[in-house]
This record gives sequence, C-alpha cells and structure tokens, in this order.
Amino acid sequence: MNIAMDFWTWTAALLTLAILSFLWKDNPTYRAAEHLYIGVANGYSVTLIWYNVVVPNMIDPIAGAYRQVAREGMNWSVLNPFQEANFFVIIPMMVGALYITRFIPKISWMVRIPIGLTLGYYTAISIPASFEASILRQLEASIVTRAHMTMGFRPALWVFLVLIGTLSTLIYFFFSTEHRGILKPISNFGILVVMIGFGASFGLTVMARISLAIGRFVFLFKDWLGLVY
Amino acid sequence: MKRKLALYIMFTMAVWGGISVFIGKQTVHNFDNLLRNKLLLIVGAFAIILGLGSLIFHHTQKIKRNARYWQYSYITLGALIITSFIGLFGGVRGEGGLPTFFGGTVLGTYQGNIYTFQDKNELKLFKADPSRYAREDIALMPLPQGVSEDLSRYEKSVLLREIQLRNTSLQLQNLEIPLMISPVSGEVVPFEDDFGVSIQNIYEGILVPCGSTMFAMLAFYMCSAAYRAFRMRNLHAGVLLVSAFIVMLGQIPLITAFIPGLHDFRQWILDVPNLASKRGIMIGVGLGMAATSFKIIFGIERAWLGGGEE
Repeated sequence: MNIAMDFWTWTAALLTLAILSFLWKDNPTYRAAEHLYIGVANGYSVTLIWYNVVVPNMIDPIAGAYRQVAREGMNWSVLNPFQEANFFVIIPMMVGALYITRFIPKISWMVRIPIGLTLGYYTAISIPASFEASILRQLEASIVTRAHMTMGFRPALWVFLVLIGTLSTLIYFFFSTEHRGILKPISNFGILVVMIGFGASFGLTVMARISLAIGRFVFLFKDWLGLVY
Repeated sequence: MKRKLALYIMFTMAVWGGISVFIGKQTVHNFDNLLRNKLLLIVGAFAIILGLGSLIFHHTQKIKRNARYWQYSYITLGALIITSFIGLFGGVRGEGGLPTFFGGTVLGTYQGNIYTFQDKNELKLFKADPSRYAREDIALMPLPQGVSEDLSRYEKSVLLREIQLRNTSLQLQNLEIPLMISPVSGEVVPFEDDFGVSIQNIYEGILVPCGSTMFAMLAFYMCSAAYRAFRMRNLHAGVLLVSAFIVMLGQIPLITAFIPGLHDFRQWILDVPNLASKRGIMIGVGLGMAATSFKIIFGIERAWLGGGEE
C-alpha cells in the first residue's frame, strides 16, 4: 500500500467516495459533495467565460481603442467593429446587459430583447444546418447505388437492410395515417428495428457508464491508495 | 406591444440569419462572421449573469427561509465565490495576479543518482508525488520529449511503467537537486511549486471526480431500471433486451473469448439495424427541428417570451 500524499488526490478521492455513498442512501456527505459540485461548476464557468469571451471580446477591444485614442486622438476608426480595437463592442454589451433587467420587475420585459436577438439568429441558421446534417446527409447515405452491388452479396444485403430499416422506422413514426393494409407489416418491422436500435443505445450507454465507474475505482485503488500499480 | 417588439427583433435576426447563408458576397459573409463570432457572443455571455443570479437568489432564499437542507446552500455559495475568485484573479493557467501555487523554500540540495533520458539531458522534475515511486528510484525522472506536462496522474503512472520496462532508454546521472519541505505532506520533496490552488487544480480535483462519479453511478441505476423495464413481456421488449445484452456482452473481452462470433454479431447490430433505426430517427428529428424553428421564427411558438405583461 502506497497512499498518495498530495492534497488534490485526497480531495478527489473523498469526493468520489462521498458521491458513491448515495448508492447506500441519501446522506449528508453526498449532499455536501453535490452542493460543492454545483458551486464549483458555476465558478469554473464564470472563469471560462471571463477569459474566453469577456477579456478577448470586450475588455481587450475597448482597452485597445482607448489606447489608440490616447495616442492618436479621436477618429472614426475606433468605431469600426471590424477593427481589432474598437468601441463598437459597447453596443452588444449594452444589449447583453438587458439580461439583468430580468431581476427588475418593472422593466423585466426587456430581457426578451437579447433573447430574441440570439434566438432569432441561431434558430434561422440551424434550419439549413439541420437539413444538411440530419436529412440530406442521411438520405444520401441511405441510397443504394450500383457501387454497393459490386461489394459482394453480404455487404449489398446489409445496405438494402439499412434502407428498408430506415424507411420502416420512418413509416412507424408517421402518424398522419392509420397503419393499415401494407403499412401495418412495414410499421411492425419498423418497431422491431427501433427496438434493436434502442437496445443497442442502452447497451452502449451502460457500457460507457461502467467504463467511467471502472475509471473511478482505478483512481481510488491505484492513484489514491496505491494498492495496484 | 412589448411582446411584439421582441418578436420583430427575433424575426429580423432570423431573416438575416436565413438569407446570409445563401448570399455569396464577401461583405455579407464578413458581417455575418462578425455577428456570429463576436457580437452575439458578447450578448450571450451576459446570460451567465441571469444563471448566476438565479442560483444565488435560490440559495439565499433557501437560507433565509430555513428551507429543507438550507445549510448546504452555504457550501454552494461559498464554492461559487471561492472558485470564481481563484479563477478570475488567478487566471485559467495561473496567469493572473493572485498567487495560485505555493512552493516551499529551498532547504538544501540532494546529490545522487537520478535517471534521465538519453536523448534529453535537461532535468525536469516529475510532478507526481515522489514518495510513491521512491522504491523504484524513478521519482525524479523527467517526462520523455514531446510528452505534455499536463498528463493526468494515471497517465503519468502508465508512462512511468513504460519507461521502467524500457530500461535501456534511460541513463543514470549524478545530479544535484534542490529540496524543500512539502507544505502539504510535510515530507522532503524536490523543490517545485508543490501546492496549487489554481482553477486547473480545482477542475481536476473537484469537477472531474464529482462529474465522472455521478455519471458512473448512473450505471447502477440504469441496471436496476433495466431489471424492471426489460422484463420480456412481449416480442418488442424481448428484442430490446436481447439487443442490449449482445451489445454489452460483445464488448467484454472475457466473454467474446468464449463465444466466438459474438463480437462480430455485436458489430453487425450496431452497423445495420441500429444504424437504420438511428437514421430514421435522425431524419425525423431533423424535420422536427426545422418545423419547430419555423414555428419560432413566424411567431407561432411563443413560449420563449414567457408570461407577464404584453
């Protein structure tokens, strides 16, 4: 046994045990670790946003523009948003600051302005992106071509099966018409395909979690307690 | 009118976002880049104030009202303040003004045989706790060339093991090492910035273990949920159960060693029926996302406006 002696390994080990203790039952150590995690995660986000967004996009341009004005006097170029150092960034800062109005009941409606700005833009640009990634690419990949036929019997069969499976899945989720006649066996096949897919997803998720659990136990027994090398 | 103003702003931005994708002009492209990568990023960054405000408000209210488990709110608020303070003033990589690493003072020097790499004579102290590796005399070994110093403790130990196995690539040198008393363990260790409270230490020592343990713990709950949900009540539940088991078992080397073909069957499930179902679902999700986006843009879906006055 070769127990680790540094502070952060001990912290990580005790927090791991505190969280794992929830498997027994809800208890004060778990609650303490959980609350600590929430506080630290938010504090970490504050740091990241400060250094990755606020400093390079707000403070640096304004400070640069201020230095430029001090050096060369006032000119229009410091208002040019395309220039590295500019005062223009104050405008989106003012718009962003409207988020704070959420806490002032009389003018809380103004919080909708920054939300509307970002929501409108990102919603619009997501439409072609989702068409491209989720629909066109998937359709393109499902099309059976002559090239697939030259790959041999089995691969060609699997390509056909993927196409049939995709179509039956889509038909199963098509609720605009009742699943009768020819649609019934197709949708029945679709639900089977969907169930296999869900089972596979479940299996992969469990294995990913198990892998994480193994990682935590390796940390405890190896890095912390030094029981295994 | 106040709701309409927000809707107009949203619609205008959506029109711009929509048409900018299809206009090939460089000027439009440049402005769109500025909007996307700078201006909206700045606006969005302020949203964290909303999140933090809500968090602080929620916990201060809990404390004020002596709500159930109110004592723990102090932990959240304290952790938030301390982490933010260390992060903001210490910097992401310790570049801030706040001293985030505390090393001891040099006590003296140690002269002795130290392993170094043949191709790298520059002495770099190994950051892991030397006392753990003292018996192997590799505590003070440098990391090989090109290997990042930012390796996790586990990766470093794996690396050390590798080095130990390839003994020939090492050379023994008689060197003089400055020593200090560790402020953490109280032991005599090679001089370096021994105890750090930088944001990276907090990330590795608190965030990573807590986050990964919480996700790891879900494995236990998923298994117990599966026990209840996966009872073979009908054909569909049976198919789901069998598929899940094959995918899980096919990933375990010990099992695949005894059942030939299981690994290939698992791969077939993932590549054929799983792919078909995921593709069908993805197409449906894509259509749904597009439809919802249009509903938001044209003001049919207004949940984002929230309640309150007009």
